[in-house]
Amino acid sequence: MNAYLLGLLTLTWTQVKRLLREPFVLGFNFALPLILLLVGGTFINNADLTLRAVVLNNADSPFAREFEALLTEEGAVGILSVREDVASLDEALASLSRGELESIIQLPEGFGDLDEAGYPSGNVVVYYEQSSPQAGQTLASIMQSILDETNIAITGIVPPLGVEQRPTTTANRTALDELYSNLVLFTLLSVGVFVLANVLPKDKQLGVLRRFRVTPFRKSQLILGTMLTYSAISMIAVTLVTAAAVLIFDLDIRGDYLLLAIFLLLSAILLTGFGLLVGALAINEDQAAIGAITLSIILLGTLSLPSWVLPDWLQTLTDYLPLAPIIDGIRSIAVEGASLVDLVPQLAIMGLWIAVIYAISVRCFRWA
Amino acid sequence: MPDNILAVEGLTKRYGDKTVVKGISFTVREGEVFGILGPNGAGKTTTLEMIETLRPIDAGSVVLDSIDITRHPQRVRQIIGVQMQATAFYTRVNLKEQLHLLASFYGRRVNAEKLLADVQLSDKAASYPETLSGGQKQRLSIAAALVNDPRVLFLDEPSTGLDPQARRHLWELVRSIQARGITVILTTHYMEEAETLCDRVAVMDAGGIIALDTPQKLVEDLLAAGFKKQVDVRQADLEDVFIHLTGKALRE
Repeated sequence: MNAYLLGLLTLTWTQVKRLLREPFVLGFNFALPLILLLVGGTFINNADLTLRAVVLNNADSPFAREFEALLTEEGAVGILSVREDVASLDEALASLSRGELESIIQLPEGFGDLDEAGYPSGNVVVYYEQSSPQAGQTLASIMQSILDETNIAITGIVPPLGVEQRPTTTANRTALDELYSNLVLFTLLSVGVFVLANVLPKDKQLGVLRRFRVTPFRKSQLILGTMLTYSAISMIAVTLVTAAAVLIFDLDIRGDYLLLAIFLLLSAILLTGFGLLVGALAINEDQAAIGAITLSIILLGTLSLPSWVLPDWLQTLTDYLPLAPIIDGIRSIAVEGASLVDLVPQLAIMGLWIAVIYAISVRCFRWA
Repeated sequence: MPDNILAVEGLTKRYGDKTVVKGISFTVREGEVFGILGPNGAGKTTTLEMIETLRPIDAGSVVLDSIDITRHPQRVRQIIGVQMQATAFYTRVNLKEQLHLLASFYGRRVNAEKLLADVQLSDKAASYPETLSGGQKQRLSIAAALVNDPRVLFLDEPSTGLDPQARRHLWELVRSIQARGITVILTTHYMEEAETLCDRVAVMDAGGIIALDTPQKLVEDLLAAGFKKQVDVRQADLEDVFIHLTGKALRE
């Protein structure tokens, strides 16, 4: 084996062993994503949609009593979970403000009294927090549905016009798919940017790299060796996350595993380039930490806003920033079963970023 | 008479308006232990670092083993070993792994156990450098500088921070390295070290060489100039007391 390769591969292997012996790396990059997956996955599996409500009957009609019994019977209204320990509107409003309830269903005085035609009449009042209207509006919609059915049953009259709802399943993306994609991205980012940006300036400050400088060891060997090291660590970490998601939570990877592995490797190489850039520019650990955090905020910030709130030119710009093709590619492979051909746009953007970032890193790198 | 393995001519280093190494010239014979002696700030380390290709040369020339270091720095790095003033190694990489790593940079595989045995660190082969004492780190640093079996070994203040026992053991190590035919160039501000180890000494001050000869000749020249030292004849000094009380064996 020639001297260049021997030095490169020995450096890579030595650095991998070194990082795998670091408790911080093991905890932050291996254990933490697994813990987040276990916690998030457990919540997702156990999640069911229930609305916590209180039923307050201020009416004394037989209809009102029957209606109250219907609402409070367990399982009668599927998503409703009725608390029976609240007796007054004031108490119920206080619980609502504390977030202990999603809604209050009040049958006001006179509800269910017979009108001139002999039918029970009146309005059900649904209280909800204005700051989170979704639950209350959902419940109001359910109440309206129940009352519509009741009206038909009482009067025998079916309204001629109506609305039929049909939910679509085109995205077919579950909460677990979202969790998995985000955790993989977090893992790649934490290894390639945070760990590397922390370790490299520290080695420079200590004089370790200067020690290498008096040997025939070249800058390109250090850059390549570092890229290989952190890509390898990233791949170990994401393999653990993927295995846990598949084996414990039955995550369905709809695409090809080999394609996913190659894509994740390229993603790791790209993000390691950013870590190298921060490490190359920073002259000490404090600067490196600030650079890594700032860079991550900027990159992640582009993903945290829904694209439709951004103006067109910014939407287009974010599509070309580094994290967008990474997260798009992971979701495309894992959720939609995308093929290599489908990923050409993402791969092209990532390839360009890899070329640019590594060129700048090599140019800016200093041994000490 | 051995050939010169190092020829330095008009070596200069400037930082802005300040010239820290002022056109110095000297030669080093193959196989000798050559010392550069001087106070802090004299320019010793800067001189060494220019020869080691760590710092660019502003003026002058350095030819090491017939290689112009400015034109062929990579060829020079292949044949020199360097022990730096501040030793630094990767954390969480044990001593054997450190030596294998450094040897790989020269395209070599090394017998790490033997190297560590030469510097009396065999029992620390599986330890990390961050757990070593100061003296042990210096010995590791010297072992690391020998992985490529260099023609010239550079030692920058090798016994700084060492206790008397460790210093004396280090001197024995340097002598054993010289016995293998390796030329040693060291900097020091310890007079006794220069006197004990060095075949020839260059005395540096304020960026220039103010004297260069064997330690014995330098002392003779001083005496010939009329210098008289107040002599307090003692059979032992405080360092001898320390070593006698604590034992000569290396205890690290």
